[in-house]
Amino acid sequence: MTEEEFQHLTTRYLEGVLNEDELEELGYELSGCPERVKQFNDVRLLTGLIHEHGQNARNPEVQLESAAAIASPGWTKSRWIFLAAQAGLAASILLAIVLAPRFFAASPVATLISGENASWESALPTTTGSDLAAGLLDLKTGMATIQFRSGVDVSIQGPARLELITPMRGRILSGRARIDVPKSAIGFIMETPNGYAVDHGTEFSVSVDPSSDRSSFKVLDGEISVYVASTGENARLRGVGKAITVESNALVEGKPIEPELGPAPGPQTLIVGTGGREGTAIRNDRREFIQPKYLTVNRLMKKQWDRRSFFAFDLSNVNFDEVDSVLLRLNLVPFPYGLFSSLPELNRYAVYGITNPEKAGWNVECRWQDSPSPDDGVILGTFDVPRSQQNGSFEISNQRLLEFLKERKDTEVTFVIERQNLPIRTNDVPCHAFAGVPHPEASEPKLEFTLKK
Amino acid sequence: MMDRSEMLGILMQERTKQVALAWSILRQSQLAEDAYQDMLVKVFENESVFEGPRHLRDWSWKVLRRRCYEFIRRQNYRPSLLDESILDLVDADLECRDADEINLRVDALHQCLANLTVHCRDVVRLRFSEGLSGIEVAEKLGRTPDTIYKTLHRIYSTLGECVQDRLGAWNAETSHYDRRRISTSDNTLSRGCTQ
Repeated sequence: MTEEEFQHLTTRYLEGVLNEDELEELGYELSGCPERVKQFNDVRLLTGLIHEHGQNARNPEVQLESAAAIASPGWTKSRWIFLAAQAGLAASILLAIVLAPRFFAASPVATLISGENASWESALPTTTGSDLAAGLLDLKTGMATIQFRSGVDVSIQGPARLELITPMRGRILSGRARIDVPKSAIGFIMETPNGYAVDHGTEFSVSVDPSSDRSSFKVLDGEISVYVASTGENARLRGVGKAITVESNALVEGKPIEPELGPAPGPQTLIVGTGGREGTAIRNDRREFIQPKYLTVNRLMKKQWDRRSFFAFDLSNVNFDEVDSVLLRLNLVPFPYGLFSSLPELNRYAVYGITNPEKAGWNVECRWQDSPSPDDGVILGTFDVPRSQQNGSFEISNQRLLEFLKERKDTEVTFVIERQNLPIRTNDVPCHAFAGVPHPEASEPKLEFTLKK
Repeated sequence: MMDRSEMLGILMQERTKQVALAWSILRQSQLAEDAYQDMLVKVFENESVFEGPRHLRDWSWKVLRRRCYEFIRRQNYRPSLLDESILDLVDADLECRDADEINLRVDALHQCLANLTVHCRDVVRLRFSEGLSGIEVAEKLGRTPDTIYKTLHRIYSTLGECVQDRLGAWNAETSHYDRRRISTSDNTLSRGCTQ
């Protein structure tokens, strides 16, 4: 491989576009040659340097001026500039450590002006009144209004993801938003994954459904232009109610998502519950610590309090000839005991389907040694639960699960759920709890079959 | 126990290398910055445990690396990565780079960036300052992604060579700097990004 080929491969690796063969080829080159490792790291370092110190390239006008200033007196001046910048940066970091949890704050592009029952998953600050730098806001529930520095108000309703880019540009990645653009911000651009709208002084709405690669734009007042990002195809919408949808990289007129119509009729589903065939086992068999409303799971360094839960579904009413896909849903519910800080940030749970016929007839109050265990079955899927989360729906849906069920049609199938990771602390380690039939607020594990049309 | 300013001095020396590490794992500027900042938070949460500069340096590299892979796992974001044993090899080499060398490179980079063409500067700005992916840069500039990857390759080659030349010149001028050659290539890589 020539040096140029190697460097091109390195560049494409850093862009994340190498295929398996190319990755292997790059790995082979690196494994046998320290010189290649050095070349590879030269490029990595260069990307780090540009990322860190390439601000000159951010503004060509400023860059030309500063380049001229640097060029004339020789390198010593640039070195002093760098040392001063380095010292300034160090001082800023020190200040940030003392005053704020985040560092190197970039210039704000917007302000979070209101939140109503808003819950966020965001690296940006989410307290009302916070200045927001460029970045991603992920609103899980509730509503929020963000005012860009250009004066544009964007109201989003959860779940929605909004990326703040500049005071004159944002991007809705999913969900719905209302955008109110004052005259001072005419030309504001709201992007979506497949298109964008340029405002001509108006109020408009955007709705993005990433699962169908569809973005809908609707004028609420005034005028906008809508563009398809990949082709440049565009249309100008004038007047209240005018709407257009970007779908499959084309403009489709008159297809707004109308609230009056409600959701489109979805596919037919068949839902099967456990009917109370569910239980939890504790390794030390102290069953007085089991409450039927919780299907609890725990794994500890001292094993005697390990817990696993199991549940079964009767498939006798399921006609698999009509089944297109299947989903196993578990509802996480708050567990009022223990300290969740004893767990790692992410907790992985594995669901096993029981194949051992000797464990088919388990009793809901069985002892640990008699209960179905992962050793009695096959793994069907995993999911991750953040320790900070105590509510929510977790699901497994894959071909393996469907095949497992098809092979056991007309019978009762049993699943076991087990935590795969250990806690990070030894004391007060809580369980994660999934709702059982007696739980007053959430439903027990369910199999949801989507039927063919 | 080290005081905070001493710790900061050590971490600042490592910063560019560490940002390079995070960026080359995560491939997104914002994520890389977040991972780095999280590492700093962790360091200062545990400031009493460090027995000396080396301990702090080693610890910060380990935490940063682990944080980057946690980000990948948590965000369900799976960039293609080299085999773990190869990553260990290249990351160890990166970690060992001389911090003084980095400072010289920064000086050189400032001057070399000014020599890029407007198009190349646009690509650098969109990719690094605005944090767009190669595909997004291509969409913005109306080019194919492959063209952008070739342009980035040319930019890296041009800047690498330019930085190397300037370091060589400075080393010749100044006797108090280490005369080691820093970049590796005596290559004949394609140009096309200089004005």
